[in-house]
Amino acid sequence: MPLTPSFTITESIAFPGTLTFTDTSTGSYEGVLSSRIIYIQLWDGTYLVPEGTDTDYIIWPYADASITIEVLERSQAANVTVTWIAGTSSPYTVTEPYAFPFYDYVFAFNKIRAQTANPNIVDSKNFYNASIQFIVNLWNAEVAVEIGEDIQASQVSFDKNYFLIQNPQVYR
Amino acid sequence: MPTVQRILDIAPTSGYLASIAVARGKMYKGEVLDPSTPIWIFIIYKILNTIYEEDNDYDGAVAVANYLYTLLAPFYFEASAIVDGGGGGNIPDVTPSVPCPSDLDFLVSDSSFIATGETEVLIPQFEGYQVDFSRGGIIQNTTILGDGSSYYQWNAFTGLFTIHPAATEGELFRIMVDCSCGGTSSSTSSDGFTFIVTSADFEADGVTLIDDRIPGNSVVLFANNFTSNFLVAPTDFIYVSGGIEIVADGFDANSFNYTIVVSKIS
Repeated sequence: MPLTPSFTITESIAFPGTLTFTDTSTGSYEGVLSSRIIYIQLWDGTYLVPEGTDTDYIIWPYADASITIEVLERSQAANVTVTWIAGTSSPYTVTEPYAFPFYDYVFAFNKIRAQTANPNIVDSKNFYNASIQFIVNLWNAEVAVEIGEDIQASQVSFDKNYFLIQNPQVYR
Repeated sequence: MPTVQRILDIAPTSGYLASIAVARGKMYKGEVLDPSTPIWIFIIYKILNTIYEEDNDYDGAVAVANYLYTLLAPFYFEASAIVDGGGGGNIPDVTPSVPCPSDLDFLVSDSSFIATGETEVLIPQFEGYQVDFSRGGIIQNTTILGDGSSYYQWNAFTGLFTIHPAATEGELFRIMVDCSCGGTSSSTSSDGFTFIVTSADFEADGVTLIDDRIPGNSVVLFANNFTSNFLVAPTDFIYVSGGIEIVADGFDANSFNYTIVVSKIS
């Protein structure tokens, strides 16, 4: 049965900047696959790569069923492309849009932890409004990719939350 | 306290029940439900559910879940009935799916169910039921008269059974389950109630709440501005003639503005 290429990505909730790629392909290739290469491209054309990488892509040895890389510094949406390499040819390529929201989830969770210790904080209009904005932006960022496959729209929402994260005074 | 997963299972249903309550404009004893409640239920559920799905042991998940539980507490029983298969629109009559537990009948000794000198015991098989108690053939009251008279207290929520005075060797104890108004701890009594009080409703001592709905019933309290945990008897409050007295450290209705949900559990 010929190879049906596929992959999955999981983001670490403990280390939100870390992505683990797993090859979930089925079947087999009639030749010899030597490696895979990963492109993580933002809506503006920028490529995300681990620090110290000179190329726009990440090499994923074919012998490794999975690979973990650290590329994110905030929640972002990207088109992720994995290309399977056989010598000088690239017989398979799969591209999927992804939203990586865990930086935002961890930030929101820590805000809620503060809220449990100080329930009266919900009386603060700023805290309430900022919390609503944050969750709506998070929802929109996820839905934009899950339903609309639109990484630019997703990133717009993530950027709004990034502003809230960088400006904690909005919660006071 | 329900598990984190149970709280997450209940939260979405509780959220829309809270929205309905807000839309109705009036819920308890003249008090309008905080209109932000359904929004907070959603926000906290959305964040906690994602975190918990990724890591069941994530630091702080239990505390956040307990806080979420306090927000959806007024709707917990109704939401449970819906989630557990009762459907929406009404709360079905709950028929216990297991036979009524047997009464506990024993002479107090060093090895009896409540041993000599003990004042409390957990009875998990009676959770959710009303309980009557007799010692020496005399039916006991739940009201604390404060004159040394004997009494008992039963928390159908936690299963904690407390007596005063302590058990004496040779006494005949009988703890009786009333299966005519019980079931599982997620059932809803047809005459259950939930109401809200504030600091202004407390007596001059700042810790005593007198309300004619409380005597004869087991209740649980949630004080939004005091703690994120439920207040339960007898550790956080005790029953007194006509109501309850808060014994939890730091509680003072004369110094702080509390909003407290009082819910009947049996």
